[in-house]
Amino acid sequence: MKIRIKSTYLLYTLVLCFILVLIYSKTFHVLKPKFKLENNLKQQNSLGYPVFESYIIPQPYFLKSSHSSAFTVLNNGDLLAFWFAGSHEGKPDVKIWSSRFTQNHWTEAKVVVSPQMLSDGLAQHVHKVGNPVVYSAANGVLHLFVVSVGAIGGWSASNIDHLQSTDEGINWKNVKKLSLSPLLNISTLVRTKVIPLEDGGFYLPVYHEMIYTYPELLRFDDKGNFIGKVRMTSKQGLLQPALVTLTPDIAYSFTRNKGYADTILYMQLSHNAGVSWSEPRATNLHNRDSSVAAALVGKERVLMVRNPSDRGLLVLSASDDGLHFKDIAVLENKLGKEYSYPSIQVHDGLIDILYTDEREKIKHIRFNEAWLDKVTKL
Amino acid sequence: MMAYLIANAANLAFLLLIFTVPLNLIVKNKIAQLVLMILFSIFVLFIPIYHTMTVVNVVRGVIGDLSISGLLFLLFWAFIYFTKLPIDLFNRKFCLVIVLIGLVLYLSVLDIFPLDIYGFGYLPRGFLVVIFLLCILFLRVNYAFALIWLVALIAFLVKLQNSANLWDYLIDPVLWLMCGYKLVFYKKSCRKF
Repeated sequence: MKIRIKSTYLLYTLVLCFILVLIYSKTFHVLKPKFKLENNLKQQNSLGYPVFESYIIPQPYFLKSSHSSAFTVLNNGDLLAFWFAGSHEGKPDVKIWSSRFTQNHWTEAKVVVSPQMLSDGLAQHVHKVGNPVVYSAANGVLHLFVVSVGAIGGWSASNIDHLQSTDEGINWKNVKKLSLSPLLNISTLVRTKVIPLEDGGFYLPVYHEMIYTYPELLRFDDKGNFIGKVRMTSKQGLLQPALVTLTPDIAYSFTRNKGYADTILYMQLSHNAGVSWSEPRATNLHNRDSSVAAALVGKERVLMVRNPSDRGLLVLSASDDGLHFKDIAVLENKLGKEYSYPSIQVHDGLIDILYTDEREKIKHIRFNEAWLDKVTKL
Repeated sequence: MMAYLIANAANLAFLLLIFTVPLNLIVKNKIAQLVLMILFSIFVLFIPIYHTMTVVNVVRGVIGDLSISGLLFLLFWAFIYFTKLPIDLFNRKFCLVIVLIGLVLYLSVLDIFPLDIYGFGYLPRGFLVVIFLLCILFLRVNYAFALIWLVALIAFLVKLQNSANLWDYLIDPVLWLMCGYKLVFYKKSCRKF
């Protein structure tokens, strides 16, 4: 058989191989992830007596609607909160507002991100903004992720914008649009808190919403660069995964259930630091299409904040195995009102929870483990 | 500097979409077509239509950016448009391959397939074998596009686009739709390149 090799084909193949080897070597250094455990053990809980406090974050009177708060704990123990507020969810006048909890009071809210600011930073038109998520990295850089929508479409046409701050949220720069989908890069949203990794990177839980709804994890390196993602399950209707890390390898994920097939609150388990996840397992809780927040207190007690039926009822539950929960306190209960979208952080023996209060304000409650132990025994 | 280059490359890519418009249906005269193109370019790139946003800004806000492959393909198309070279850029096999890749990719995002094929593009170590095979396939069916993918791979290596995903350098919905359209309404007008 006569073999004829065209020199141009050979040259092309050689150059191609060379480039592919370079790409391979560039991505080879990415380490297997390990969860960095949160500062959730008893440290400053020497008070010994129960503490329970609540605050309303002050904001300008003209803000008719406030929703979807997220917050982070700064190095000095201050809290920095973000939420969206304006005339009504989805309107172009809605902006991302921020306030700082320092010396036991919240500062007056101020605007940090508006659609116009994102438009200018990206050189792309941004029509409206939504859910923010904030993370304070080990190197001191603050990462803010904001859901945004272009000229047309609802939240299903969203994408995620990433901003960074090196001065504790005073100035935000390096605005980037995360590229997460080949379908016009739309329909990936963010809501729940970031999970740190031992290598200095972190996981950002997100969810896809168009046609099929499913949760995903985005991985970032220690410089805040987005480097990969994991699809957590293909079970339809699960979104807004709330992660709880138990060890450097093991974590639970609890997801909001859109309720296509049932209203069960599902849990997934990972034994390899989020690289893969078990099939969703049913907990003994129900969730009717509302965001949940969860955190580890101590070594194995998982706290869960959720709306069990409608959004007028906000309940705190606890579990030792991630599957069987016991309701331990009713945080809010007013029929026809909305107390929703909780976010939670555990630090220095304190548990802080922020949530939407009657859809108009953001409320903050703070309690310690002594209070938790007291209500658990009741 | 890199952000400036990326933004302008994106603007250029959208501008090149003008070559997808059959201008000869509007005016026959070549000079008139050129004038029309220049006027159109000025309008879409520089005239604000909403606050400070131009047409390109608004369109990019809705559909995101084109891939490097899409940009180079449109440049090639523009080159052919002006030089009238007898090159069949949209040969049937090539269009079929692009349409199939797009179908598999886009349906996997909608969870129709159990595999997250788009996700392979973030850490494409094992996936590079597939890319190699696709490049060799393009070498057989569309030499120009094989070269375009080679350049796109280099662009990925130096992170020329604001994306960490290899797929975003290789294919985009505009390229996919063009190939789909050409596949359905295929009419061979010139020789294979």
